Amino acid sequence: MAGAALLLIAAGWTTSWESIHAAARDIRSVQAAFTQEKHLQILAQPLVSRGRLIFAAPDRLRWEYEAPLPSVLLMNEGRVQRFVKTGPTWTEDASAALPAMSFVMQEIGRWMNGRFDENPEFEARLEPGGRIILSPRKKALSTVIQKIVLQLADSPGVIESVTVYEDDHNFTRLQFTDVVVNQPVDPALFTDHP
Amino acid sequence: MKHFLLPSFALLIMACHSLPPIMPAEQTPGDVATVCDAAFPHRAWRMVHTITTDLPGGRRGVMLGVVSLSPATNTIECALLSIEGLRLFEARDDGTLTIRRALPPFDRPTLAGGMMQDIRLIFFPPRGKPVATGINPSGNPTCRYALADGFLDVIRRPEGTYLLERYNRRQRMIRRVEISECRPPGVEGHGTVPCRIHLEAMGANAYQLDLELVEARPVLDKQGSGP
Repeated sequence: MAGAALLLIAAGWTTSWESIHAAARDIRSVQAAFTQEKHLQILAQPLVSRGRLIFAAPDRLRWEYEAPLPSVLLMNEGRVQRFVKTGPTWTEDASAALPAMSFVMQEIGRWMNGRFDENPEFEARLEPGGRIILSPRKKALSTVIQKIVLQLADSPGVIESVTVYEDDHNFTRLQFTDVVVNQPVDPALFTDHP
Repeated sequence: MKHFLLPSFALLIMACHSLPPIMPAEQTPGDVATVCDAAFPHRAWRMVHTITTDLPGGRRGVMLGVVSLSPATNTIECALLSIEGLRLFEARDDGTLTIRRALPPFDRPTLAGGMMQDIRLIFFPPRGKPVATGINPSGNPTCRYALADGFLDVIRRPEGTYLLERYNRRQRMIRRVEISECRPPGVEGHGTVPCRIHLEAMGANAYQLDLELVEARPVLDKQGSGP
C-alpha cells in the first residue's frame, strides 16, 4: 500500500512547479553518466562526447568529459574553473568561452535544485509528460540560445535529457543514464581535477 | 665586442625570417612538386581539432575547431566551440565570407578574415604551380609559390612532417606552420590529414596555436567528393 502511494507521488512529481520544487527539496546529491551529441549544420554526423555529472546541493557541480577530450568543469562556492588534458598533463583553461560556461553551470545548478522557473532571463513553460521549455525573454540572449528543452525522468528530482537549441540547425542534446540520487559525494570532487 | 655581436645577432634573426634562397635539387622539379603537394588534403573532409593557445600570464585556452573543407569547390565552413559544445563562432567562405555566428570576443571585425586565411594556409594547396622547387638552406625539399601578396614555401622535412612558411610582399615571414600528417582511425583508404599543427603568427599581433585532431571523416556526398 505504501509502495503504491510512493509510485503515485513519483508519477505525479512533474505535474506542477510546486510538485517539482517539492521533489527537488529532497535531493542532496545526483551522480550520473551522460552522452552529449553536438549537432552542427556543418557536420553530417553529430560530435559525440561522454562524461559524468556530479551535483551536491545547493550549488556544487562537477561536469567531466571523459572522451574524446578529457576535461572537467568545477563549480564550487560560486567559482567556476575548467581543467583540460592537453597531452599527458592537465592545465587550467582560461579561454574566452569560460564566462559563457559559468552562466551555463549556474543554470544547471538551478535545474538540479528544481528551480527551472526562477531565472528571470528565461520564460519557463511546463508541458504534460514532464517536459519543460525555457525560452529567452530578451532578444540578445535568443540570438545565442533559441530555447532549452528539459525532459524530466520518472524518478523524482531527476532530469532525463537536456536539449539546447542554438537555432533550427544547431543543437546539443545531453542524455543522462545511471543516475544515482542522494549517495555520499567526496567534497574534493568539486575542487580537484584528475 | 658586445657592440659588434648585437647587430650581427639582429641580422641573423632577420635572415631567419626573410625569404631564403632555394638551391637546385637532385630530384626533378616535378618530383619535388609532388612531394610538396602531398602536404594538403585533396578531397573533402570534415575534421574536429582541439585548439590550444597560450595566453598572457602562463595561462592556456582550449577550444574545439570544426572545419569542413571542399577543395573542389574552394569552400570552407568552420566553427569554434567551447569544449562543452557551445558554438562561439561559425563562418563559411566560398570566395565570399559569410559569418553565421560570432559571440564576443569572436565578433571582432578582423578575426573572421584572419581565421579563414589561417585555415586556407593550413588545409588548401596554393593555386598554380610552384615558381621554384629545390632544396632550402636546411637541405629539405621545398616548393615556392607566388601569391597575390607574397610567397609560400612548402617544405618537406626528413621525419615526414611539413613546414609552411608564408612571407609577405616585403619577403618577411608572417606565418610558420608545422604539420604532422596521419591516417585518421576508422577511415581507411582516404589518405592522410593534418593531425598535429603548430601555427605561429609573427608581427604586431603575434600568436601561436596548437591543433590536435579529435576526429576526421571524409565527405562522401557529391559536394567536392572523390579521391
